[in-house]
Amino acid sequence: MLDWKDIKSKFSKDDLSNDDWLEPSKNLWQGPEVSPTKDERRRPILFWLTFGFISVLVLIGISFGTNTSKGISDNKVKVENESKNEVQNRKDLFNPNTDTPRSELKRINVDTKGSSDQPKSPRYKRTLNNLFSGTSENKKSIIGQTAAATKFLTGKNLTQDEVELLNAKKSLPHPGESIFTSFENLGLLPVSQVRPLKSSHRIVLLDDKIKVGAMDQKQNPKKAQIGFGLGVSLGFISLNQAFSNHLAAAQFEHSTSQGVLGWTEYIKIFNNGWKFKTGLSFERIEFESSHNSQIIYLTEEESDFKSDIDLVLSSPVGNMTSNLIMTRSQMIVQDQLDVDLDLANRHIAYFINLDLGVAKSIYSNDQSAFDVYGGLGINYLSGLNNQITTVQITNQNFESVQGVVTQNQQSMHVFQPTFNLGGQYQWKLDAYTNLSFATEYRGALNSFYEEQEYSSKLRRIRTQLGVLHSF
Amino acid sequence: MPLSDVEIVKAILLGDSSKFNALYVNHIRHYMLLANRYMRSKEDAEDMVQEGLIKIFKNLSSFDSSRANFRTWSKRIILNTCLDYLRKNKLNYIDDFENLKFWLEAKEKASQNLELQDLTKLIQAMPSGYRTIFNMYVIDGYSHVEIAKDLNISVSTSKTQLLKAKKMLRAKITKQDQNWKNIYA
Repeated sequence: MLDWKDIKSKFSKDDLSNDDWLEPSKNLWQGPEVSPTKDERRRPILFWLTFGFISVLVLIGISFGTNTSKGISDNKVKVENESKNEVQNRKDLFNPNTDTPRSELKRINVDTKGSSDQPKSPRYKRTLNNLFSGTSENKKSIIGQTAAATKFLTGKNLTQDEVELLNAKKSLPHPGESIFTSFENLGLLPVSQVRPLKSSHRIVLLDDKIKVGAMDQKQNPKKAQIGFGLGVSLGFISLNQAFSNHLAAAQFEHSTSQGVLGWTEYIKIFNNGWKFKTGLSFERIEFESSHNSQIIYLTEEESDFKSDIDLVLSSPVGNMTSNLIMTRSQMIVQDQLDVDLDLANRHIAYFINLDLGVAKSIYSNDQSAFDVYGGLGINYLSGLNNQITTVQITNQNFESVQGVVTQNQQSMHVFQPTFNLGGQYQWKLDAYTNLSFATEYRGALNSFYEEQEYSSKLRRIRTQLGVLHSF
Repeated sequence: MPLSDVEIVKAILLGDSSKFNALYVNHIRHYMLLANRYMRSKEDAEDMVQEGLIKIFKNLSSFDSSRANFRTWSKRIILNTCLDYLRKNKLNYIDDFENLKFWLEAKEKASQNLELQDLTKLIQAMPSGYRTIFNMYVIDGYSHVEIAKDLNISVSTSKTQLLKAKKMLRAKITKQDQNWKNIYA
């Protein structure tokens, strides 16, 4: 039984290295030593000149926000799509049964793929060398390119009058001439009316044809990025008024937090410059606080001049309990002493941050890009460590005080919803690797600490450096 | 490490036209296989491939690797070139299978990998209308609606011609299995 799928699979095989019968005759390809023509040698220079010119237009476009309602990406030149259009146009042009006049405009559409010099018969032989040596100065073909470019840049077709005007003009576009200049010379399309091109687009001059296409980014399009890196953070803990007033009597002070973090993120890239971001980071922050504490030292409770005292300490994120061992240096006759303690504490918190957000590319070129981004996330407090760093005692009857924290703060929110806003700069290291530098503001939607009327919030500025792999 | 197609295309667009040879070497046999299926002879297929290569080069700037790999994209250009030619030269549905002598001669000369070549020759020998519709539907995966639109024929014509093409090819392949030489020598 004949299986058509089997036939299809036979013709779909990837390796044809053993099918020597498919080797074409030598004259199909005149060898790789195709000598570039003058135009060919000029192409890299033309590329950079054209690219620079279009980059300026893009920057102007971004600055003045002159983008029109229809995105230029809608008009990207696609061979796959245009081939069908071309086919349809050819049908109209060559179908003897239609009454369609063979207008210049029809011909222009046919010519937009540079096929005006299509052989009348397959017996017509042409070597690839012709490709580089400039096949013709076909006026209609150049008009066709102009029409295609006009359609691409403006979304409009050339009118019959404009085509006739082009025909009548002597100064048609020629190799090396910017299409914008050409339009301006022809009086068809002032530069001011050209929609700003995205940086990923440029105009290419191939042979004697003007081509417009979606370029560099499209040849190496990246759909997503994944990356990792390290960073630092600076945090600000703000106490609400009640909490601040409550601690004022104890001369409470606290520092900003300093942190280090490791991060990883995944970025999904969409064609319109928008990106979806999700990230995971592990962060350690450290901050300090200090305050005074007045205690009453009872001599009758001591043994060997030592006494244990349970003391409540304050921090910007709530109260903790400590145990102080105070050692007295000499005999005293009083039953109790009023002692002032000056305590300094260190607080270390560990976070796991999970973020979701969007980014928008606002600047990009071949080498670098800059995005702004924002999103929401969850800040999970995975660990907390408090240390009493110093205890100073003003009473000279004591020779030392040692303390340990026996219970951490109890009224902290383990989960904090957060929002973040930032900017990310990427510098291309190679085709698939970018260096990433980002800085962001990260605020909290609820309190870090909350107890009765007392609360405090944590906000951070994070700076991250890392690498992103594009794929 | 050899460059990928995308890297080669980028190099060409930056001015290194010599890299086109690498694309040619990587894909020429696939182009030839495709063109051989649609055209009547190897010479015609070469003409189509040559014309298609020129179009491929000229349109490299439009290649979008996010939508298709290079081979798929470039084979589509070769295919369109073949269809353009076939459309201009009017499809015919006349059975001229009796001209298979050239195929037999080729078969006797060839020494290996006859299977794919056999099938290609059988397909080549079909009338151009059958051949084109068969190729587009069975091998290249077009729908009847797409075929009808591309060839400017009705959907029902596409369907009936495909049935006839399949019937013809099945008969010829069966005969081949029995005894080619007795039938066509």
